[in-house]
Amino acid sequence: MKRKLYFLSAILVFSVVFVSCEDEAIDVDESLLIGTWRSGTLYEKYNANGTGSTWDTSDDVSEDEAQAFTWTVSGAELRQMHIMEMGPSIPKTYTITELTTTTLRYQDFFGKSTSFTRVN
Amino acid sequence: MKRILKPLLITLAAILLLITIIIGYGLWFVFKPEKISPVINNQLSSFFNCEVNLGKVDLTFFSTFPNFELRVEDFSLINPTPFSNSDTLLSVERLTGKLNIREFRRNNEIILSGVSMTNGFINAHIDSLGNTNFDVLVLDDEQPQDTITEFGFNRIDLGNIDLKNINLTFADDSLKLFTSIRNMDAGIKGTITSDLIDGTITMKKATVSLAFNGDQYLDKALVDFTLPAQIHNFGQKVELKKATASLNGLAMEVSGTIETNPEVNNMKTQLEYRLEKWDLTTLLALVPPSFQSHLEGLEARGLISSSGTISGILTDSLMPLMDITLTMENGAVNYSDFHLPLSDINGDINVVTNLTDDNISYVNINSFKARTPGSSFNVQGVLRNILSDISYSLTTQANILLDEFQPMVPDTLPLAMKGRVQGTVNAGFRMSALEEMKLEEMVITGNVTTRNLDVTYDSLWVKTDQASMEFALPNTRATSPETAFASLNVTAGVFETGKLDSYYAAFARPALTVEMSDVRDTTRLPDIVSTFRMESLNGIMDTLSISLLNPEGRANISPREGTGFQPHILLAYNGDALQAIMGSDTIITGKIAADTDIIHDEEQEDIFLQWLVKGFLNMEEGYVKSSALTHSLSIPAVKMNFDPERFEIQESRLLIDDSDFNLSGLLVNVLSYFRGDSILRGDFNFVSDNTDLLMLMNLTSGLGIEEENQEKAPEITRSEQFTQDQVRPVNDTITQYTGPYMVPQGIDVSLNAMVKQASFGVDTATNINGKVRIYDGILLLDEVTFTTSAARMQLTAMYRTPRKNHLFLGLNYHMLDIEIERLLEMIPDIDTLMPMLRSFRGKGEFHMAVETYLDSLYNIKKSTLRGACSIRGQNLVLMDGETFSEIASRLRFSRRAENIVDSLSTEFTIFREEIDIYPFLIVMDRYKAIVEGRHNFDMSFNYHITLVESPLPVRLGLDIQGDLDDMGFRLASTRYPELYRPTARRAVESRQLELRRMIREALTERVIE
Repeated sequence: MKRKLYFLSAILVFSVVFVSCEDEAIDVDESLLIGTWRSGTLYEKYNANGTGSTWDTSDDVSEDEAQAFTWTVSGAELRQMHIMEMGPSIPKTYTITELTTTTLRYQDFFGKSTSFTRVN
Repeated sequence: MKRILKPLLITLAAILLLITIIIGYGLWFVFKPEKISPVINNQLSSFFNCEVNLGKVDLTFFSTFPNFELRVEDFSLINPTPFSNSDTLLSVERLTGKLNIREFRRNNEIILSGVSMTNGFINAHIDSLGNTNFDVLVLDDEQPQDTITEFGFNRIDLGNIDLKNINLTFADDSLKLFTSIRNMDAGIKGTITSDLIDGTITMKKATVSLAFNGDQYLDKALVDFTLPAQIHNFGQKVELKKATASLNGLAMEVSGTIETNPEVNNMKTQLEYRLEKWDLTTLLALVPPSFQSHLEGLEARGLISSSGTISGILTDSLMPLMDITLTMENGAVNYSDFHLPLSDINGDINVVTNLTDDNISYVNINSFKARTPGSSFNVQGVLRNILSDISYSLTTQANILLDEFQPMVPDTLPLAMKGRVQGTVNAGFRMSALEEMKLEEMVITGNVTTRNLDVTYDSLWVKTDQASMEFALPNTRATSPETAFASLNVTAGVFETGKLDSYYAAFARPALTVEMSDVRDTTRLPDIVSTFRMESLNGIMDTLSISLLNPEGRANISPREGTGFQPHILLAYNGDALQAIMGSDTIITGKIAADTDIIHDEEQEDIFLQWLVKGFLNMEEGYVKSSALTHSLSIPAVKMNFDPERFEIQESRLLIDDSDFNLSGLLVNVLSYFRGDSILRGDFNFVSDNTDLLMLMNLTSGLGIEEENQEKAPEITRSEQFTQDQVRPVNDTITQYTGPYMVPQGIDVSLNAMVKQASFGVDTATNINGKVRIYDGILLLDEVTFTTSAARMQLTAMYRTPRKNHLFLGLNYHMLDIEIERLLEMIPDIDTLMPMLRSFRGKGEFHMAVETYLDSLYNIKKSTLRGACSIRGQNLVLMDGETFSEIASRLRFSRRAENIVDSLSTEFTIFREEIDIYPFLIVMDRYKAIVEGRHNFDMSFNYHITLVESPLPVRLGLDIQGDLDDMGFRLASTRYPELYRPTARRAVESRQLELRRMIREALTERVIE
């Protein structure tokens, strides 16, 4: 009986401790995303037709040599499908935490945040 | 001549007159000398207008009847003139003669006998005004002096008029002529009738001197002659019968007739002459001193003979035909201005001409031979048209020592020659053609051999131990109408040629035939047809040396159609071996057979386009070592046909380092590719027992890349190519590698590869089958299957090189039944992407698609890295380790739990530096867990494990974060408690599974079972 109490106590503690907290959802104006965004040497360009491209000048890659992706926004979720020539598209899903005319900030599933400023 | 004859005739007439007068008076005075002499003296004054002196006069009549004989001593004519050195015109010590009185009286014939004149002299002189000292006869005033009187006798028989020791001097100041004959013994015999003089004039000996116009033509020359002659009609016809004459021993014989016809003013001749073995030294001594300057330094000897005829009519416009034969025996000439003495000169020349008609005039050189100390020559032939444009038809045999003629080379000509040239040359040409070098109008053939020839011209030189040459101009046996101008056939022993500080070439036993068109035509290249054959050729030029063994072939050169100077070359070549070395580059081959058609188009800028070649090439046992190649090439065999557009490789076996290749197939659009009109297309079969891919890539790197795009890169070693991300120690150095492999552009070449074993760095594969395609800057390995010791594999790879520092590499890799441990050995980079695999052992299947851009050092541009991977495994062994122990402890694994993973099925993606492992189920013992997480290239990670089934009554979650050195474990809420329970699955879990399914399907759809 004593062991069962310990076990229930533990479940209770776990229940308290591991209750997850949902991210606070924001309203995303998708049109604000259209344009070219820069984070350091990393660039992302979102076209209105759902295509986009990304490049990093620190790797000696120019916009002309940028790699393509498609993108969709659902609520605050931004999904990029990075197109490969030799295989499947690579999905990357982010949660937009801030989107203004000048700032884009998103966070991935593992909590990694990236902040962009609009270039044009 | 007339001036000389006149005093002689006058003298003769005076003598005859004197004899006649004396005889007349003798008869009258009964022949008493004491009575006769004064009377004759008185009477003579009636006939001579000069002083006449007589000594003793002796007449006999009865004892000598019917001849009346007269002997006069000391007879002289004294006629002093202001212009003559002597006042004595004639002086004779003794004068004798007989006259047949009976014949004179009965038949009006003068028959003389025993007429002689002994020890006397005659001094005749004409001054510059024409005055003479021998006009001493008193003539009838009414009869002109020069009028020939009618012959008054039926016959005159001169008997033998004998002149003994008579001196004759004749001087003509107007002509500046002086003649002196000394110690003359002469005779005159013959008869004179009204229309015929038949006699013989003989001069047995005399010393003759002759000066004319100040020049001494004869100086005490010994002269004798015998002139048997008949003179008809007072000189209208003269007939000589073997007349002989000798001047200082130079004898001549003349026979024949000379007939004049005053009515038509011509002369008809029919003469024969012969002169025998005149000594050339003697003849040259007769050359007057005034002309001796022309012979200064000339020494000549030998015997000259001549014979001939002079026949025909001589008029103002016609000349008699002369047929003259000249011979020379044992002649020798040494001329100071010509350093070579000529000896053994023997000639036989026949000249036929009338000096007016070229059609019948010619010179026939039957033979003309001569020698120098080291050379000899012999000429035969005919010269025609000798009066105008001489036509030569000559055959010359010569044996010439070139060393002798070296001094004849002008100092300004940098020519040095040694050796011997021997041969025969036949030449037919006109002088005008020779002067204008009209070779097309000449016929020249011959054969020449040389020995030890050594000729240097400026910096060029030629040497040969022996050579033979045949030549023909024109080429009557031409193989084509265009090469009928000339031909040349040459064979030699060892032929060497070179240019100082430039090149050297040696030909062993060469044989060369050449036919050509007119090489003087400066408006076009000549047509040349040639064949060549030799035992060997060795040549050196700068750093290039070449050796050929038994080369033979044919080379035809002609102007390309429509051009003048752009050659069209047909070249056929066969050889047993070739070795060419240029600096550190070497080419060695065995047998080579080639037949090519080469066209030159100088309007093209690219050297490749300027020379368009078609034909075939067969080569065996080749070897190539080049500084441009990282490895030497061994080429056991090459057989190919080619033309400017097509390259058909029937067989091309190649050994490079440890690799071997057999390439066959077709390459097209070659010319168009180089012109920029088309891409180069090829389809080849590539068969190999062993292929080193890295070495092959290095060998062909950069073809077709413009120079400006070839950025300089530091030399790297093969090991350095892999140490950018992972260290793979490979020790050998690629010393010549200067950058990344750049895929050729503008070409579309497919290789149907069948490779038994291939290596790429440390990776090795066997039984490789598939297509390798290079397409305009893209290298594609299309669904290539191969087997390694670890697995059956299928690879599709793309390597694209848009620019040197931006290289695309894409892989689609499928490995079935692979040992995970071997997988990590084969592709160590997998360990970077999924480090957890190190903890597993066992077989699985592996599908991966990854692509990235690389920099020039093959470093991954991580911002461009994309990839997806799917792994399936059954009954994998989870290796014990600190991490596993920690996980097992945290998740309350049973101590009895075996570390066997029943199944593993996972997908993960790579994006930039992030590796996202999608939630997957791992079944182990009594446990089922969902694992997901992120692994970063900096080796940090963030994993989550949801324990969905275990002996525990609760579901536990575990977060593992940090890095390998600082790993944090934390119990957490379960993220995927319902992942494999479709009815309870949440939206997030469903999306994750959908992504996994999509990734796997995309990865496995191209797997070839």
